[in-house]
Amino acid sequence: MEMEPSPAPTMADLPADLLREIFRHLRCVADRDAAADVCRTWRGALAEPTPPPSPPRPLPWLLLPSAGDDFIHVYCFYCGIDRCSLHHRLSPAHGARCFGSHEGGWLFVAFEHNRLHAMINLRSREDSKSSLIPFPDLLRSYQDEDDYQRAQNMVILAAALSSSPGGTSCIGAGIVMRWDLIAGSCRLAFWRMGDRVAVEGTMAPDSTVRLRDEIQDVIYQDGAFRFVTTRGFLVTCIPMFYADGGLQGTTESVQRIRHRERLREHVHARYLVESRAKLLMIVRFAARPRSPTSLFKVFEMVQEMVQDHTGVEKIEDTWTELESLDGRLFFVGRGCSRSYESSAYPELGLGLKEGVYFLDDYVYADEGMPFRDEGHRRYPCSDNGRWCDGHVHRCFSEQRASSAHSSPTWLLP
Amino acid sequence: MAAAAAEATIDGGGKMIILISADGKRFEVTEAVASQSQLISNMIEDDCTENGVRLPNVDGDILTMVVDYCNMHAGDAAADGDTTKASSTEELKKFDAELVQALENPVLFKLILAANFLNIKSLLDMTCQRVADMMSGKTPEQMRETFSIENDFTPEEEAAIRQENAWAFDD
Repeated sequence: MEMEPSPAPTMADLPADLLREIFRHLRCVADRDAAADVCRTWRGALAEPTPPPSPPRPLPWLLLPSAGDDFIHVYCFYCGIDRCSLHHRLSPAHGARCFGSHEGGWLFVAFEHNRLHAMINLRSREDSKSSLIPFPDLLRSYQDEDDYQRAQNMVILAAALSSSPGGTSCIGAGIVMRWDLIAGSCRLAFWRMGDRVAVEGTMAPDSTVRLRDEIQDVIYQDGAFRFVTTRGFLVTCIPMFYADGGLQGTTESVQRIRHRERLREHVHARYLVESRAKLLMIVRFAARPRSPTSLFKVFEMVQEMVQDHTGVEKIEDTWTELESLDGRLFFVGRGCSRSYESSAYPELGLGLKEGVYFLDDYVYADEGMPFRDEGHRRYPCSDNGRWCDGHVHRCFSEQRASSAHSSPTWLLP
Repeated sequence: MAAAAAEATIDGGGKMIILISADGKRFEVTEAVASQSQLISNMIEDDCTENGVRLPNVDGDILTMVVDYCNMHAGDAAADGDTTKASSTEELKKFDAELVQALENPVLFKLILAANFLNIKSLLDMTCQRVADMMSGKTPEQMRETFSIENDFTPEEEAAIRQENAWAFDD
């Protein structure tokens, strides 16, 4: 009872469960969305919930300004970031400066470089109102009612949100510079979604944090915004509101947290990231101020019993250096650092191992950059890679020298 | 007593099993190799492989690939110290990559159907991943071309799709 070879099957001949099995392997959210627009069968298969194990949080995309044109190029780890495959070009941010991201495809941009700040949703209809939420371009100080200053223009360098931007309770916190005080320093700014003017944080003038101690990073964690400074101070800010719901300012507390860093190298940046319900500080070092990244150290905040000068014991926060990353991937970027468990992404295999994935944000140290003319702006885009086992690996092979518009950034899809 | 072929052994390994494809081709493999198929593994347990295993859903050319794959990967599963069969991880990766890269679409789909029928999870994963990789980075129209799929949305549905959220890419 020998049979003829069966006719050549096509995709349409695959039973529904096999189609779903294929889509289970299609991890990139942009690819899944495109596949859902192919035909009715695919649409139906993709509309069904993915069979367990449920898919892990999508990994960040890499947004890299292109050298050849003004486009931002988008790379996705699932689509072969190591193989340097161009995934897509991003049109809405054409020529804009990108300064961070939030989950759900939100990208923080300044359309006209140092003004017209906003966040745009890269996964939305072009004509949809919800796809663009303006950020304030102005900053006013609240610290002294009698000396109520006129709102000043500001540039946002990095930002973090307290929650998903859909709700009215969402607060944004930014690291900003005032136009009139470029040589001053970074400041803290807070705003509600839709506010035209942001409120400045005081940075507790009586505190040990001096103006020249630059704000390095911001995170929303455990009900408060936390900022870390160049010298390792941690500033915790909780927004306060007027009776009418307007944002009054923040309560602030400043901590000098014990840690042993052995600063032989230059601290290039500090990042705050939440991982396994703990606050982590990731410190980025370079041999000299302008040389490429050479080292990372990862510290975890732990409570330790210490004795004060009178011998009384008390509990104090300390940064404790982690011996290993313990199977974690840290993607560091100002305001948008995230931690991922490598065990949740087995399909990435050897291409994506534990490590600290970093992007070129050297320009952050060059405070005059956002105020230069286009012809004189150079955002370096080459110090990107992964740090692991004491070594820096240059893993994003498409390296670019610089861009006139933007540093590279992560996008959280 | 079992048939002579089914009782034969090689290298002191397990019993031999005959697999018979839809077009009547016969493949002689060890139990260890065949057991990577959960279907056949169950049949071995139930003692119903003595007269050969007929696989009416699997053509000979596809079964050749499946048997090659299982021979290569027998080292993964076998923990009996038979190092002659065990291949290095790198060799395996190279073999797997070459196996699926070169396949034409119909052959790839046949292989998926066979892996599913025989219940060989690693082969099913690998072949489904290959199809997913072929979708990666493509527009809906490019996906239709790649897989010869007809756009069966009505104009109304098309219009509704355009009203939905979509990634703002410029392709």
